[in-house]
Amino acid sequence: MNALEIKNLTKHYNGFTLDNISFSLPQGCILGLIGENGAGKSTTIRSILGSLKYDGDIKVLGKPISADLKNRIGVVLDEVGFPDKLNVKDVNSIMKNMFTNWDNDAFLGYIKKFGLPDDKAFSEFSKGMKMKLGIAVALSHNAELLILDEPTSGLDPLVRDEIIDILNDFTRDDNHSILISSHIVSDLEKLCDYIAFLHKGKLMLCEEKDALLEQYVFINTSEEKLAELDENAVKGKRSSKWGTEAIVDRELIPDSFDTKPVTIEDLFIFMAKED
Amino acid sequence: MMKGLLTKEFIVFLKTSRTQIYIILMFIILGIMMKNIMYIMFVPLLLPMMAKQGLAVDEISKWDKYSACFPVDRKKIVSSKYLLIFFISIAAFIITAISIVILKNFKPDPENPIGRIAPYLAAAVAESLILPSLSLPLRFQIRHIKG
Repeated sequence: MNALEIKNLTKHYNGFTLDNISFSLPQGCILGLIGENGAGKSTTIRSILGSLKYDGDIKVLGKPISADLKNRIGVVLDEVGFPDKLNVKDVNSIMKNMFTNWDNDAFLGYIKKFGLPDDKAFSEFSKGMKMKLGIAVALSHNAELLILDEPTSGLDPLVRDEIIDILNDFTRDDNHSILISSHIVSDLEKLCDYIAFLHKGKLMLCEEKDALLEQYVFINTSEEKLAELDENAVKGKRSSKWGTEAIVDRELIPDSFDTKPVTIEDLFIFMAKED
Repeated sequence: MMKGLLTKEFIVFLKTSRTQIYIILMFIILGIMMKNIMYIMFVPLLLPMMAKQGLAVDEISKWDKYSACFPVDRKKIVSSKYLLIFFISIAAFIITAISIVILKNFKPDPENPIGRIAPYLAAAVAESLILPSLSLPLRFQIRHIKG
């Protein structure tokens, strides 16, 4: 079963179109939604959450999104929007009455694990602390699917690494799935099973991360030799006076080329620049 | 769930309106001490108006956007605001009524029995309910357009 299924998602704004996006997230997997700022990641997530009107079909845990279904989903947005004067105890009291399956002990456990003070006002929290509180809330009602929109943006590497560890822990259960968007590709590379590239509102590709890393390689060559290759083989290139570096499809080039492995970040940057 | 939204509204109300609540308490004490009912009549007018501050708090904290994370729809979010004002109005009515009874015990006034004051109190409570009922839809509409 798919935890998330998106078919032909289209959303028009003034000057931006999210163009016929389709992808799915198998249950038990982590899918990273990568794209530059303004690529359409947040629009996709807001559509999934039902915050926007859109064309297309979205199924979450096999059903169209509804308020009730959100009891089974944990959501973390780029900004955790609790009112300034609330503290952790207040948040606990609110969420206890908000979610039908709120796990008080799990929440307090996360608060302790994250080292969050329970009597300090939310306004006095650092950005990392606010994000950790948002994650604690998302993880404390036995969610089957986590949807995270830029959870690591603006955080220092140490906190980002901590958050990635927490998310890795969450997917130890085979029924747990994660959709995470970020423009910090290195974070997603550590975490994801599947990668979806969004660029200027279009889905460039959606594939298994390991398959992508296997399929695409770097070659160093000249413009002339590159021009001789099948045009579908070249996903992106960077030319300088010392030669041309290109990312190519391993299957579509002769074996004679010396190849180097790519990272997801390389692939994303080269593909986005090529467009 | 509505219970969660109402819990949030009440906590935010109590935490953001602490100073105003003290001022209202002062009005009640002044009314009783000075034996003047007009001070007490401010309570049903001011308390429900204070409850509207929650909208500004939501806007500043971006709770509107964040509430998409929870199992509540927009209808419930809007309803919770009206319910808060309704409950606060009821509380204001009870507080005012008790204060008037105390005042009447301090200063028996045979020319103005409680029966004669009751319509004024009812009018003040009605106004406290009607004013937000008229202004809140406008406020929500503006926020909806801005959003």
